[in-house]
Amino acid sequence: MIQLTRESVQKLCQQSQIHCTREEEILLLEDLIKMRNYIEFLQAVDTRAIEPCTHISKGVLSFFREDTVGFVMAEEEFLSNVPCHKLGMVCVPPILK
Amino acid sequence: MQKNNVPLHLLSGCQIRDAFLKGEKTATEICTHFLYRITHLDNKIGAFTEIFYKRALAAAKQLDEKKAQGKLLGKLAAIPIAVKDNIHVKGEITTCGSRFLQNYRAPFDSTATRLLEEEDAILIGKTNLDEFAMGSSTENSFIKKTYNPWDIGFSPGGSSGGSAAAVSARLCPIALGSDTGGSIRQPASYCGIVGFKPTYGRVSRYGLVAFGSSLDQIGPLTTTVSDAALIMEVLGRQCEKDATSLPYNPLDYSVRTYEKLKIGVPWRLLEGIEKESKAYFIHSLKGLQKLGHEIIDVDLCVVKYALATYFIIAAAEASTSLARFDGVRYGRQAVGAENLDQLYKYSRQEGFGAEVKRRILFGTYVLSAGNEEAYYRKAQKVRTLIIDQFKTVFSECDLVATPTVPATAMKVGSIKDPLKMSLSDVYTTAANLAGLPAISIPNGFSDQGLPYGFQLMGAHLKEDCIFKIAEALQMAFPSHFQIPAAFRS
Repeated sequence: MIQLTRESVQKLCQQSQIHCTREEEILLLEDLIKMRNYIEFLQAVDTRAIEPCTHISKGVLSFFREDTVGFVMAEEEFLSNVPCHKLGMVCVPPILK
Repeated sequence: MQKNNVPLHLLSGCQIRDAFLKGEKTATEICTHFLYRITHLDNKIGAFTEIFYKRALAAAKQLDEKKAQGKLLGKLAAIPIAVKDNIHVKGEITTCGSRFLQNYRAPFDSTATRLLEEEDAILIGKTNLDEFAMGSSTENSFIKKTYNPWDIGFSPGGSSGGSAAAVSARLCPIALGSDTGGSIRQPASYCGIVGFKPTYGRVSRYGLVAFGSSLDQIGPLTTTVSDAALIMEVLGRQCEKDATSLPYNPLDYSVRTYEKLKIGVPWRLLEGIEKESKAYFIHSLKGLQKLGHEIIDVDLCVVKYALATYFIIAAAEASTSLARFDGVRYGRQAVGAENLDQLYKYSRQEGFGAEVKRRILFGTYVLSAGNEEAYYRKAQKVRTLIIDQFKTVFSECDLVATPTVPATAMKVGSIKDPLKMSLSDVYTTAANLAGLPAISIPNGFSDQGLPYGFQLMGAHLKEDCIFKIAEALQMAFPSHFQIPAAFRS
């Protein structure tokens, strides 16, 4: 199990793609420890022979469907919310500078 | 029916529709009445993030013309309905209570709002919520705070606090909310109104901004059980755009057959509730017994793990659901990012509030290699235990009753600890984990004049059982269904 430390919070921020300030990291560490401590009592539940619930509607729904084209949003509608676009293309900074 | 010039805001949605259909009021008069109330009264409670003045009046005018032409009118004709601001209405802003989506304009209609408009409802505005539906007090909204119409020093609950406050103050008779861990039922309890969460998959999630995709459901907040049943008749159908939508036809919930039901109460789970809340709860159970229903003790001991299980699963799903908010295709984009990695990180830092960041990080933590088996898989297994225990209980009884929340609403700003804030969801999360339908109805008032709620949970797809008993309680205890004094006139 991964321990909760300042370094592990920084790693979680990296994985979550969220930049946090130093102050935020400290507060987050405190909160995450409290939440982790609260959920620890689940470890006492005997789940040895229990299947995990992966789909709430298992047995009722099929999760596969035909690969057919459905609703296609018009380009102008899609671009209306894009913060930066040119000539119908979405602009982003380079991956590496 | 509009009798003796009863003000429109004191009528239920069904009564407003009937007044319109009988020609007692036009759709424009109805719409104007509620827009006037919202304009002059919403500043006291801050329920709305946006009011659809032009859209609503245009829809009302069109509806009046449709009626004049003798065309067939929908089941919700002329009823003004507010929509929680994480549910899309095409062309309108969907903020999700977040800085990230402050200026995001929905490019498509949600199935829920489309179905409402197809039945001639009038969408009157968007209501405030905790950011991305994460919270229990509507204090996490970036847009504004919302206050409880019963006492503006108190929270309306959350995350559908805006919808609950709007209906409680009679700024509209019906509102839509979303429920992931109790976010319709808890604010309904705190605001003294009816709040209903359907069976998972009964109502399409297409157009609902995802939080916990295996838990989320859209549902109605109303002043009467009949209005909640009416909304479910309209919304409860399969949607091809939602892969989790159940393959069942719409049902008619208006027919109320009387038969004696067995109602289970998990007494051992109720030890921590306020004395007054327990007294009202027992009083309502006695009312049901007088009507001929049987009250039995049931064992739901596994449900004591529901809140912890919900924390893990909801956070894990939230970390995935909110990964799409990267500042590229929509939403807040950080200025001055030198590369793509910075764009993602700074956009999300600027766009998300503290509670959202907390849940995303916790979700990432429980899904991390080394933790996934211990936390996420464990939670999924405990979820199976909860589902199985409910199946056993529903072989013994028809419904399960509990108070909706252990206490009345909290004072605004009184709870800073996010964990403590979540404890109000202790009785509501189990229904989301098991995918079961559940309702909260008003159940009396505390000495401070704040409402209590009574919760009924049903077996899978047994919405009709819930409506039957909930309506019986409404008829037995009409004094529980009141309007805050400041909003009566």
